[in-house]
Parts: sequence; structure tokens; C-alpha cells
Amino acid sequence: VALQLKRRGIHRVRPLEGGYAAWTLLGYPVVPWEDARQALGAPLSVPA
Amino acid sequence: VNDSIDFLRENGTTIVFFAVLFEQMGLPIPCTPWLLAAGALAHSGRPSLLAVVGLGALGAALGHLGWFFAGRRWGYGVLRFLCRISIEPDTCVQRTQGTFDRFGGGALVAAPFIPGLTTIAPPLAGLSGMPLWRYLALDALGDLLWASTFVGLGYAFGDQVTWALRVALRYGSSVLGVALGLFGLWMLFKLLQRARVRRKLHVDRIRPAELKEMLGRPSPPLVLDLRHRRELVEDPHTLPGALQVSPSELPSRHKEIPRDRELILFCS
Repeated sequence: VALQLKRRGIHRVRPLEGGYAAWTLLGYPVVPWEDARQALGAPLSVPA
Repeated sequence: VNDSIDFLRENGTTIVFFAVLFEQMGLPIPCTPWLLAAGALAHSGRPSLLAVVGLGALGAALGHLGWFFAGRRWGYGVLRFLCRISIEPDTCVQRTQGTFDRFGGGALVAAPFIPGLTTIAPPLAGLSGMPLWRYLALDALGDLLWASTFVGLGYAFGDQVTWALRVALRYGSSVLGVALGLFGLWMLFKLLQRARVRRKLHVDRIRPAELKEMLGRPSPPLVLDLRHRRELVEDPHTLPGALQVSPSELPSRHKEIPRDRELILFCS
């Protein structure tokens, strides 16, 4: 996906090393998906 | 050679059953040559054509069943494990989920014909909550079609397959050497291909610690969660501020992505 986006001119894109599994393994914070669910269908430019 | 052929005639069904069982469990044991050989030998009535097809399909079904229950019990952990040991872990989870979503239960029928998918489709069916009876029916149909196809090909081209079998038995070590050499070349090609993709992305990967630090900044990056919706249902958590987007729709929505913010992608 990152390569596809780069080909489309979005150069500031980086995949997270190890993905979600690595993030949770390190004990970093996660939030309930309900918060993310509300963002479904929302424009991608919505501020995080 | 004749003794070996006689041995195969006597034990063809047993060999086919175990070769198929072990291969479909995920072990790197090629079973297709055994199906072809048994089909070719069945021309003379020994082993029985129906027995070879039946035991081949049964071996495949039993080989898959454990993965189905593993998927049901451990969910995406099994899929991640299988994809981690696969030759293409970067695309494995998304691709198999995409195939399963596109074809539904039909993916189970087609799975035995598609290398890779045959081991991953059963746990995917298990974790998706497919009823056991439906899984068994679809998987059995796929296994029966698959076994019939290869045994049937062996039967149809009996003379040619028997000739190849005699050559393989006579020059066994040389043929094995060539086969292993070709397999090694294929593995090397896939590893080089993977290394090339990784090299392209290498400088662009972000470490979790760096992302955690960036998320605390006044202008954090835009984080996109590319995991499958089904996976999010199993573990309904995500990174702070992440938006959930399907990987397939992302390229078509690239114009919506703000160019002034860095984009971080993650999946399972």
C-alpha cells in the first residue's frame, strides 16, 4: 500500500515496523475501536 | 524398478493418504506426484481409482480440520503465525482475507488448488465463525474436486506418468536432485523478490517508539489502521487517533490525504 501511495505522489508515508502486534507487545497505548469506528467513512483529512 | 512399482500398487492408497494429510497440514511434502502416480497405476485396477480419490480427499479434509479448529480457538493469532512462516508475510494476511471476502465459502472449494491459500483458508473459516457443517461440506467438495483432478490427470495420462515414474525410480537420486535444485531456485527467487520489496520500504519504516513520541506532538502524523474489519471486531482496539481504512479503497482516495502531514500505515 505504501508503494502504491508513493507512486501516486504521497512520499511522506511510512509503514509501522512490526504492525499492531509490535505496538501492543511494547505495551504502548491503544484506544477502544469505538473511537475509530466513529471515523469510518470520514474524510481522511480529519485531524487525528 | 518393477519391485518399486509393485510396492506402489500395493501401498498406493496409504502413501497418498499420508502424503496428502501431511502436505495439507502445512508440511513441505509434495503430494501431487503421488496423486498423479496413483492415478496412473489405477489404470490396471490396483490401486482402486475410487479408493485413491476417496483417501486423498479424506487426507486433505483431516489435514485442514485441525487448522479450522485452531482458527476458531486462537483467531487471528493462528493466521499471523502461518503468515509469519510463509514466504511472503508482508502481503499474506491481507491477500488471504481479500480472497476469502471476495469468494466467501467458494474460497474453501478453490483453496486446495491455490498454493498457500490451502493452509490459510481453513483457519480463516474457523475464525470467521463459519458453522462446522458448512465448513465440512465446502471443504470436502474442494478436496474431492482437487483429488479427482490430479488422480484423473494421472489416470488420463497413465502411460506418460508411468514412464516418468519408471525414469524417476531408475534415476531416483538424479531426479530428486533436479527437483530440489528447481525448488531451491524458486525459494531463492522469492527471497530475492521479498528482499527487493523490503529494501524499497526499508528507509520508510517507522519504529513504534518513534511513532509513540510523534503522537505526543502538537501536529501528530495521520495514522491509518489497515487491518481487516473482522480483525478489529476480535480485538476492538486501535492506536490513538487512528482512522480505519480498507487497503483496497486507499489508493482511490489518495487525493483526500493531506500532503502536509506524514502518513503512518499499520496492519496486523
